[in-house]
Amino acid sequence: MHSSRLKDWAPFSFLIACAISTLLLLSSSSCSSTTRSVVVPPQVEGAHYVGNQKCEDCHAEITRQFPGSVHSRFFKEDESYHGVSGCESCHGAGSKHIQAGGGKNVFIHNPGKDPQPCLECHQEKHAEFSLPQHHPVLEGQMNCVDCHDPHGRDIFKQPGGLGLARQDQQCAQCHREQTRSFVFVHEGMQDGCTTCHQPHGSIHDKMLTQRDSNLCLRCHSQMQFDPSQVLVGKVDHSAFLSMGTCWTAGCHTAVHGSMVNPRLLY
Amino acid sequence: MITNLTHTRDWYRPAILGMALLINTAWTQDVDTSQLPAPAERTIIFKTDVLPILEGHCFQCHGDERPKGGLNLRTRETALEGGDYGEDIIPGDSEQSPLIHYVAFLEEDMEMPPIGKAERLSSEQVAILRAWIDQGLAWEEQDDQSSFQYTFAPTLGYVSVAGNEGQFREHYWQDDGFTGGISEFSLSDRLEDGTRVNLKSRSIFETEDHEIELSLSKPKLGFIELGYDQFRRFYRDTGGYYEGLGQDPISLNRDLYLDTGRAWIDLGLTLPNWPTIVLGYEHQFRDGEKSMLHWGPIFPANPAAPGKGIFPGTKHIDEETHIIKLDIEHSWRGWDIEESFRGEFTNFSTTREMPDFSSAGATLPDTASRVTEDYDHFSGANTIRAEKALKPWWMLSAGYLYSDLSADAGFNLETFLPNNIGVAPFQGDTSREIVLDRDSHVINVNTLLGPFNGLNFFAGFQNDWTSQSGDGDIFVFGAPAGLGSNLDSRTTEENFGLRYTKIRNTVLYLDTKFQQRDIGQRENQFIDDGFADATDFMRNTDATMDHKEYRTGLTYSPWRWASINTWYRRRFRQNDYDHRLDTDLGTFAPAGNGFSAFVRSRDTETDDFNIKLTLKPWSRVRTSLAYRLTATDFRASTDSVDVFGTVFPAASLYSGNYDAHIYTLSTTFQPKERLYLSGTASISDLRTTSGVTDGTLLVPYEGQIYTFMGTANYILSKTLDWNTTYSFSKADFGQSDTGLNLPIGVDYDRHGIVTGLTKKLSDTSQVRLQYGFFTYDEPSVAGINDYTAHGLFATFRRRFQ
Repeated sequence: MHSSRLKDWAPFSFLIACAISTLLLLSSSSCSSTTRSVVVPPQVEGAHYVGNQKCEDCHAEITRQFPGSVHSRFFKEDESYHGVSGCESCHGAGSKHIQAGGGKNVFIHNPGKDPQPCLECHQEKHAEFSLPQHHPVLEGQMNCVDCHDPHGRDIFKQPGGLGLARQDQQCAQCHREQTRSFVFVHEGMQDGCTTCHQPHGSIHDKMLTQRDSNLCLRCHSQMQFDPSQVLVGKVDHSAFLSMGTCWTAGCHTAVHGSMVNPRLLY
Repeated sequence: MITNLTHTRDWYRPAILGMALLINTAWTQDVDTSQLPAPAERTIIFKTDVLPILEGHCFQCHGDERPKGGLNLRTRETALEGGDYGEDIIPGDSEQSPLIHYVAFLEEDMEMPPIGKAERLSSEQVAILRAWIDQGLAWEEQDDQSSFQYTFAPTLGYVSVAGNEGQFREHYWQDDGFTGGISEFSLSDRLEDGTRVNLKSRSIFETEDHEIELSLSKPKLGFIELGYDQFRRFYRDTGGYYEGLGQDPISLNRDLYLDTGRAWIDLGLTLPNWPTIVLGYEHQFRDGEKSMLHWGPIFPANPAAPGKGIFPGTKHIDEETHIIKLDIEHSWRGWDIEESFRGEFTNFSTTREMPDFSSAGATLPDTASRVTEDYDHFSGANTIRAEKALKPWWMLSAGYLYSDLSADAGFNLETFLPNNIGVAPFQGDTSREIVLDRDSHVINVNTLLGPFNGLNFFAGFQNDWTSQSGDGDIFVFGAPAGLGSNLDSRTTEENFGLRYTKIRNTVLYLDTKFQQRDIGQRENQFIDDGFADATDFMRNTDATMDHKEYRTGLTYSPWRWASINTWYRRRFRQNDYDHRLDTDLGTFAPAGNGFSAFVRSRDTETDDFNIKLTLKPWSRVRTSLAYRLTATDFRASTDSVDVFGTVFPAASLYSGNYDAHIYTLSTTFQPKERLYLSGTASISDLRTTSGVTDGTLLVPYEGQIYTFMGTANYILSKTLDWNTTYSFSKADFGQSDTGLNLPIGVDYDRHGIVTGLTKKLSDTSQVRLQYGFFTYDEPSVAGINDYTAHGLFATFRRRFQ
């Protein structure tokens, strides 16, 4: 941890202390109940929890890779945790689905069509989706699984089990114009789209992480021995910075790459 | 013949199948039917006598979804078809029906339900099944959700906006004025032969939100799925704002929107014992005009008469993509093999119009640039993957991907006078021919081991070779020029993961990811302008990137109602550059202007910490509290550099820093049986700085974001519900360096509340009436984006069954 930021740990130290105290307090006064759980699975009327093992009978191709997935970090095999972790925490209680012989959306929820089960736990993402600029997930035009694989190894990549997923593949399936080949490509594309964009939601147009030249200067190192001089490349940009953001002030407008200009001016 | 193979080792499958065939043909000689319970001596009613037995003991494996052994007991017709190896039910003759032999446990290793999978049928239940078969296998229509039903929901809304209508549309993805259509029309049915029919559609006019999906699927044959959907993305038509100009922000007075959609059809073949084959076609499109951030420059250096270029920028897009896809899946000797091909034809044309400069007080730019681009490509990608559970504790997968892209591009830049469109545009760069190629080979191997006493281990390796090139003949301001580039990269990635669950109520995990990338990059642009390479550009850079990521955490949940989840992640990325050739004799720069120029290495370090406590101390209260800290430092090392005679020594530089503290509190509360409340509040404290320490040049980008989302539902009576949702967000990133720079930071307050009643008219119909109030206030652009809106919405929903 960076020394300048040690003071930043104070708030969450307090938070940890509060959390542990609350937990201890509650543990001494409450009793366990199957009607109370920290995860609220989608409701399937009349169904009860059956556990992952039952799901494996038909969905082995998913359950056998699940121990390698990000969501397995929350999975407990203990029967008392059925519905709190594992398949049914996202898909709902499975007994009626099994009784009906399975089938797509037959007495089972598919978070691929409805993001609500995902947002039950990922509340901070729900908050981001409510910002002015966002992907239309809450509006029902997109779903979490358009970009994420909830069962696979790397949740930030395309579905496909344990492998063969590539950086920014999920963005490229819609944003072809930005991810196409260029004669002169912006090196920043090698670092991935999320270096500059906040995909769930942002207060900034184009879902940018920052809105001014600070975004660019993080990587385009400036040599400022003389405070009045800011070198980007070997060009003093000090007079340009005041004109606006690097890509809005009429200069580097081809931010993803250019077909004709090596300095990405257009 | 019923064969449930899920508990049989895959490599025994052919042998078992052979045995099953023999058993089927020799059944009557091998089975002692005298041990069968006698048929029940009464009239059997399917719905009350038989269906509960099938639901409780059979449908789990022998339903519509991947029926084991090919036997689907969901309909009379599919039941009579039998499984993969012959008939299982002989109407009128239960004694000779193999199904009865299995459920009566007369044959070893063929017991149904398989031992351990479900409870064995009692003698009474076998007797009922016998009587049912002997009485002719009566099969009334099943009264369940999968029989015929459809839903119809017309909707109508009106939104009145005072202020910036485009900003409202952009925020809520919804048109103002009247909107309406069908919010839901769905139909589902299962025909007697087991064919499932599903139709789902939605069509809202003005907002241009349309969707229709139709699927037909028949077990053991195949399916057809086709559909069309589109939605509209709205944009405001205002650009930036600079207070120093003393002028109101400018609006284009145009409706900007982009329609995005697709139409597709998939044809699938799901014959028993055959590979599953899916052939599909998809057409994607984007068409419309959107706003840009290209507002042009501001010139605040002369406060008495600041120059400006600020004006809204737009981009017209017409993009079409045709995709052909073929997917084949098959299981062979325990290996699950997937073969997938995608052929993609994309063409698009875009036109960007951006202001260059305009006089103070002018309502149009004095000059503007128009960039027109055309692009066509064919991209083919083929993937083959194989996966197998070699042992119950050992899973292995591997894959290979090859992709190739060939593209042609066109480019044209011109400068024009918006105030005098009669003047011919000034021609900038324009292309004669630009071609691009890109091909990739990716291999991947993964293994998953365990659990060994609660320990799972994962390892993955992936190698990606990508080569891309671009060549072109263009004119640079009238002078012929050649340009070219090559980018070769090899990326190796290693993943390792551990998960340990043996500690009571606890999951511990550790993940690491290592990535190494070697890049060779060459770029050139030769301009034949008669000035002896005066404006030529050449660059040759080798780069290596080393990325390491470590993450460890735990989930501790001592009871179902309490959970703590915490993790820490550290990421380190180092990019080293060997800038072997860099010639740039352009107007503004000495040699050595292409990235990385004099930068020798670039380091990025990120610490990421997250903790979340979730409690449900009482059945009516659930709350979670989360905190996340992200801290990133950016640093660079440079060579000494000579800029027009001024020598800067080599140095290790601080390039920037990003800090984020994010607090989230979420609570659901049910104070009364009829009242449900939920709310999520989040505060983000963000700060980004760069190495520029002179506040007259650039100030840090910092501020807070506040969000709150709340919902209240109250059941007023058996037929009347009240529902309200409230959403709030606020940001204070405003910058105060006006006079020195163009402030970019955003200050805003946004509120939206929708409240209404839902009246249940009958068991199958309901009507909902809602009122919405929305406000937005953005003082950082002098209020030009502000709006206040009122909306009324009505939806009627009827379900037919």
